[in-house]
Amino acid sequence: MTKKILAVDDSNSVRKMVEFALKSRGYNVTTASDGQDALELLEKNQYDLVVLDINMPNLDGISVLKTVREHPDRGSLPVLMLTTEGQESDRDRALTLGATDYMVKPFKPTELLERVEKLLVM
Amino acid sequence: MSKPPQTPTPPHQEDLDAFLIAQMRDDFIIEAREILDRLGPLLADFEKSGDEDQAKAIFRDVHTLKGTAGFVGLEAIQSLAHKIEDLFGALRGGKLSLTTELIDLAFEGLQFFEVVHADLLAGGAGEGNVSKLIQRMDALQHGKVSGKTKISAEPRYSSPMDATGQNTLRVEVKALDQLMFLVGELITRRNALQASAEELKNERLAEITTAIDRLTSQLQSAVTEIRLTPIEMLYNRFIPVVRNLARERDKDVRLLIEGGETPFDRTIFEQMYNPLVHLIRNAIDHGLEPAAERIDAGKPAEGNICLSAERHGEDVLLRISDDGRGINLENIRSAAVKRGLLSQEEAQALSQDQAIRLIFTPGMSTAVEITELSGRGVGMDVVVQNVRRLRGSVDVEMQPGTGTAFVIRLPLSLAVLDVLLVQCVGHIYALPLQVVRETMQLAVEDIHTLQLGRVVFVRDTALPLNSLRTWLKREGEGLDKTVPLKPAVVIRLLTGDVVLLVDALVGRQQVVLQPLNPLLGVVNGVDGTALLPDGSVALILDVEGLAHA
Repeated sequence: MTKKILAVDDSNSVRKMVEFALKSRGYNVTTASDGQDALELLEKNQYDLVVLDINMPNLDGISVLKTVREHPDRGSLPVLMLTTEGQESDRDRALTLGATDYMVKPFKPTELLERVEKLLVM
Repeated sequence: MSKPPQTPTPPHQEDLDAFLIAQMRDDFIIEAREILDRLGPLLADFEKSGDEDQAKAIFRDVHTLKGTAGFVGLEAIQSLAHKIEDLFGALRGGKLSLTTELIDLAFEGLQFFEVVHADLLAGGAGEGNVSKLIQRMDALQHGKVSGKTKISAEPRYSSPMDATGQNTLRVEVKALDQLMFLVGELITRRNALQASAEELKNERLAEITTAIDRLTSQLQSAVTEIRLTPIEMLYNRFIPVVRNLARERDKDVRLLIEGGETPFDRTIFEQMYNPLVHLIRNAIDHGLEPAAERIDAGKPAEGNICLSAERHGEDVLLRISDDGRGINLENIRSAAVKRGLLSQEEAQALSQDQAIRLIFTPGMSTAVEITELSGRGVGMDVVVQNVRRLRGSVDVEMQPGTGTAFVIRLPLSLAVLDVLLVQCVGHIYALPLQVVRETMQLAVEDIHTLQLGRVVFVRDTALPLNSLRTWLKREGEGLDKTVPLKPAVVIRLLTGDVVLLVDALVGRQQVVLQPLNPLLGVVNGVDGTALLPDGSVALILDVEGLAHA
């Protein structure tokens, strides 16, 4: 079955790149540009994986992650955090709060795809 | 578990990376523009308010810029954005305090981003040397900077932009152009329909034609409106420009933005940026006096530069003014004499208005003698050429001692224009209404011959008399001298108004500009062609080109 992925990033160009890359591998991709939108989508839909940026307006990625993990059914939903150099403390917090994995921007689209495939197999 | 199915897009890994990154670079140029538009006003506001939310918003925008620049390999943007993010991180963490120096450096950074962005837009590599600027930011962060005079750049704007764009839709400019083109075609057909309806004198047809006419006009203004964006989106880009120039020149400058909500064609922002930078640079370099001189003249030490805009019917007027010393007319007169453009006597005979307009004369602006007046030697050429290309006009108002103002008049819509149709040697020509001040009927006794040539007095001002026949090199076929009154048009030229004799005034008409076939190259004096209601074609005249041919 086609896997459903939610990609969340406030940067238009990053979001589009992630979306295109994932779609090129046949995933079913939904996108959101801030934490608020992401939570609403997560309320209504089932996803197999979330790609989540940390720094965003209207609720950041850490808050989204926290809400996701507080949900009884979403304890094991794979969440791949997108971070940048200099965000080490945020990254550590995300891992403590239950992020499955993280990637440091910038990365190659194919690196993201490899990571996503691994997480979906787990 | 099974592997997800492959799509037909690039099969090889390296290809996929290259493909997606190339696409991302195009997206980045658009995204960076949006971020830079936000950052200028945000920085200026934050300097005054010190508001934590604004600091956070700046931090986030710069962070996004850094992140995306990294993906597409724009190292200069990436490292500078990283440093600014660092500064604002330190600020938010209480390790650095909000000072003018900090904001100054941030504005210098913003200016650098603007330069790189313009380079990217023009297809350049988008690189540049930022190490010095970063070093200075480092020095500030680690407390090695002494105090500096305060320079303020306070924009006044009516409404903060809705950057998140609720209920808005992104549309490609290309799609808007196509829509505008179709409206243009429709207008041409409507004009033909109107002409036929008048001939046929059929009541029912006349009714339908009136309805179609009204709908076409509504459609045209609706399409024109879609392309409009508040002009503050353009004006805000000058916040860093003013601030950095003021600092370089060690002057106190305040930037005022008025009428920022005035709608302006988004598609010509880029073409107006450089001309406006040039005018602002002139104002700061040469218009605004040093503080001591201003105080002696009884002015406040801080100089003012005002960017304002207002809509006049189908035109937009942009006004770039300063409250400086004005332009030295004696310098202009002597430069014109040195360049051999005028004799000593002719130069002295010019009125203030005529003398000031000499700065628009080709050749004057590049004169070495007046680089002092025109900034870095580029002269007014950039301004004039760009504005003319957009079928606009430039005017200058000046009061010695109290300031200079440049007024740029641009049509709101570039594809559809209102023209005055005139006849000359059996042909119909179109004069854009932008350059037409008024029409008149001249009697022989209205024409006076002075030393400088033939003139006509219009409200006590002697305006040079020209004839369209001469401009079109058709003077051999002389005018009918038996006609007592001769039709004429007062034309607005950069070098001042002139009266232009024509064979006949035909009337006003809305036409669609059809650019000339590019195979013909640039034809001096002709802007394009227009299809007239009767199916004939009229040349749309570029009066500046004709007057200086």
